Order: sequence, then structure tokens, then C-alpha cells
Amino acid sequence: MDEQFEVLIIGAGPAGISAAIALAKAGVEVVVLERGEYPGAKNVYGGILFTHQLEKLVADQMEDAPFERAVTRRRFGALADDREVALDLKVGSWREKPYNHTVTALRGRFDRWFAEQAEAAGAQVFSGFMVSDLIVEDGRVVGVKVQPGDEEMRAQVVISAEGAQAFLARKVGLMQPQLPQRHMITNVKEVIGMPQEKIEDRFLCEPGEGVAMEYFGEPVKGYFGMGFVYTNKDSISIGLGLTVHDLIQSKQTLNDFLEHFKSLPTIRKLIEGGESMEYAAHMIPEYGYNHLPKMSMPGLMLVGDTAGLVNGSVYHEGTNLATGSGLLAAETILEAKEKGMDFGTGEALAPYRQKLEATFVLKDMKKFRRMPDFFNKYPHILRDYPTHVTKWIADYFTIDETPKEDVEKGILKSIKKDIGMWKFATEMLRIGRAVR
Amino acid sequence: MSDNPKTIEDKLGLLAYRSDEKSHITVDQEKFKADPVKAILYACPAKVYVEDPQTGECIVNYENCVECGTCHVVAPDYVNWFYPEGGKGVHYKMG
Repeated sequence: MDEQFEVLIIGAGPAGISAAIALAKAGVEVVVLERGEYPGAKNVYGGILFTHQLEKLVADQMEDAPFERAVTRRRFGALADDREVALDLKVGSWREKPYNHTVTALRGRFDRWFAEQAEAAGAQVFSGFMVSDLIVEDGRVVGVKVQPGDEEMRAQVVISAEGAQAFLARKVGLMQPQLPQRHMITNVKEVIGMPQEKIEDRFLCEPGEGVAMEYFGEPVKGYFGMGFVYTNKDSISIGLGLTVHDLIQSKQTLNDFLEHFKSLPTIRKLIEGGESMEYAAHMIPEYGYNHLPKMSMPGLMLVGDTAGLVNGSVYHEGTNLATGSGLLAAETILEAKEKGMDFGTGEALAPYRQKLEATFVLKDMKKFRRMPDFFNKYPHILRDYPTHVTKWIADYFTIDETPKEDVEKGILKSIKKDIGMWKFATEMLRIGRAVR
Repeated sequence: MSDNPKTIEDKLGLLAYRSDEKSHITVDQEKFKADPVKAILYACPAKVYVEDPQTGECIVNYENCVECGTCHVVAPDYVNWFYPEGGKGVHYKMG
């Protein structure tokens, strides 16, 4: 096959499809290869879609997008034994467009729809084709090998939106040959069916509105990771994830963790009576800013999870970094083309990294660059603090005839005993520095 | 009250697959046997890897694979995992 396309995109997830839409709209010839039977058939995430970049791509179609619920309430909780201490956010303006740019969505539905928008813009999306290798000639990526059929397809630029595994990026040396156990997080999720009204009653939300709840501590038994509960239209997504390093240490299966999480007193009632509909597992690459791969080489660019573009921190953002990077990859190609450059060369693609740096994509990751290493270096913070802090707060609000002054003294004594005053103070500073 | 699946085996029963005649996973048996931890036996969320009690070899139930890729991050020295051929393998409806 000697045909050469202008741009070939590997993977029909949010990153690849964003690039496809932006390029197709500008009249570039784009082909997307997706290994699933349809876009979304292989794609898994927690459940929150951040929409501020989508709005740039499909502004006129946003009303038709198959979102589940607008997230009008967010909850960040520490769970330990029999108690939960949470920050619960309900903001009136989030109930109005653009809904804080935060919605729930199921990828089987959303990615399929999103790929249709790319087709409508003029891109060609071929499903059921897996890219098994890149073709490299004289240090430049010039095409891909496709299964089934062992076909070769050539393009001036290849965008890899392959996903977290990043096989192809590793193969051509844009990143370390092996994925790092301390920075790869394996997640499992269950989608549990439940009638709409029941969800709205249980989670205290209006029709069309929903909740994102995220939990540290007990769901992952103090390991590096977190648990989540998200409301879809007529189902609940519940899951958790931890680093491969910690999963190995734990000697347990992720399903054991998940069943434990589901059985906790504060969680059990939320999902009670629901019917399990799907079980899924997927990895998140939380390398952090300091361990990112090279973003491009002649003829190749990395976007989304492939490029490690995930803002773990407290925000747990991924889909917006994916869509944002897809847009910027497209912009880079279009600018090079405009200037009449050979847009598959190193010089043509180099501005992509600067574009990422100049926007929220890498600005946010840079701000939180210390976090992934911090929690790997001080594992006891995630292990011990949820237990201790929730205990101190529970003690503070425990009612009996103990004079409140003595209660406070008791808590101070607990802090000394559980952690140590000096250590507590320095660790608070350290945490502050890690997120600064 | 419905009796929801609790075990991995039962949860895999919720999933649709497009069957593939050939395995997309290979395991180096000698290295597996020599590994004292054998973390893939519990780290795989789909229980693809089972130790044969007779031979000590690793049985690979590749048909159950949910394609997360954890196994080759856990044991890069002896698990060779790659995507199934296009269109084959697990078929998520919700994701």
C-alpha cells in the first residue's frame, strides 16, 4: 500500500479524536485507527469528563453529547474503619451551564459519539484495526503496521493516542522501555445499575445532576491510590486504584479491595439494591511532570495518556489534558503546514512541547510536579493520616460528659502519641510544599 | 434484593468478549517458576494467570483478559503482553 495520508492517528479516545476533529475541520486528510470494534469498546476511565476543551471542538454539538449527569456536587473524603471525614462541595453556579465543565459520562457511549463528530468533520475512523508497530526510516516515523492483515499505512505525521500502555512510544525510545511500577496505577471499576429517582434521592441531587465522590485511606487500605463513586444517569460507577508497586506489596486482588470498599458502612448504603452491570480494569500513567516522555520526534507526536498527561494531584484530571493535547498537536501541525514546512520533521513538531507548557496542560502538571514522588517517598502519609486525622476529628465531636477542654487536651495528646508534634508540623509543611 | 457478583469469576461473566483463537500473552515458564513472589497471580484483576498445582507452570487464561496491561508492568521479565488483534478481545459497553 503506497498511499500516503497527511495525518494518521492511533487510537480513537478523547486525545486522538480531538486531534482528528481539529485537523479535519482545517481540511487536513486524517485517518484514525481504533483497535476496538467501535470507538470506546476498549476505553475505560473512572467516569468524570472535563469539558472545557471539548467546548472548543464541538461547541454546536454539546447539547447532543451523551453525557450522564452534570457534576454539581463534589466530595473529597478520608475514610477509616467506621468513620468518614469529608469536604463536601455544593456550588449553586455549578448547576448552570457550563456546569463547572465537569460531567459524568460512560466511554462506551461518549467515545463513540465523539468519533462520529470527527467523521462528520471529514476524518476517516476505521475500527477493528490495531497498530502493531511504527515504521521508522532514517530516524523519522513514516507510517504504521496494522493488524489484522499486516498492512502498512504511511503518513506524513503519526499521532500516537494509543493510551496508557504506550507500547509504540517506548519502542521508538521516547520513554523508558519499561513502565514504572510506582507511577502506573491500576484501577478497577464496577458499574451498578439503579433507577434515576433512587440515585437522585440517595445522592441528594436534582434530575440531570450528579455527584463525584473521591476517597483516600480505607478504600485502598492506606496504599498509594484512591476510591471513587460517581453517579451516571441510571447507574453508579464505583471503583478504586493503586500503584502497581503497592498492589504487589498488598498481596491482594483489586477485587478484594473493591469488595471491601463496597462493604464499608458509609459506602454500602449508596449502592444497596443496585445491579452490577459491568466490571472493568484500566491503568492510569501518573508519572508526573518530572518523568514525562519526550513529546515528539520527527514524524511522531504523543498525546493524552500516551504522553503521561494526567494531573493526579487533588483534581484527578485526565480527559481534559487528553483533549487539550490533541488540540495542541493539531495546532502544531497546522502551523507548520501554513509555513510551508515539511510538517513531519523534528523542527516542525518541536513547538508542540512549548504549546503544552504554555497552557493548563503542563502548567498544572508542573505545579504539582512534586506530588507523585512525594507520596512514593513518604508512604506513611497516605497510610496513617486518614486513620489519625479522622480519629482526632471524631473525638472532637464525640459527645459525653467529658469537659471540652479535656477533650482538646486528649486530642493534643493523641497527636503527640500518634505522630509527634514536631513531626506533624514538619509533615504539614512538607505536604504544603509538595502541592505548592 | 439481587445477588450481585462478588468474585472475579462472576464479574467476568458480566463482560462481552470477541473471541480470539490465538493468545495475545506469553509467559516464560522457567522465569515464572523461579519468581518467589509470583505477583501476577493476584495482581491481574481478571485472574488470567493461574499456577498449575501439578507442574508449577503458569496457566494463561488469555480469554479472560480485560486488557489493563498490569501483568507486564508487574513482571516485565517474563510476561509478554500485547493487544489482541484488532476487533478481538474484551468488548466494553460502558467503560
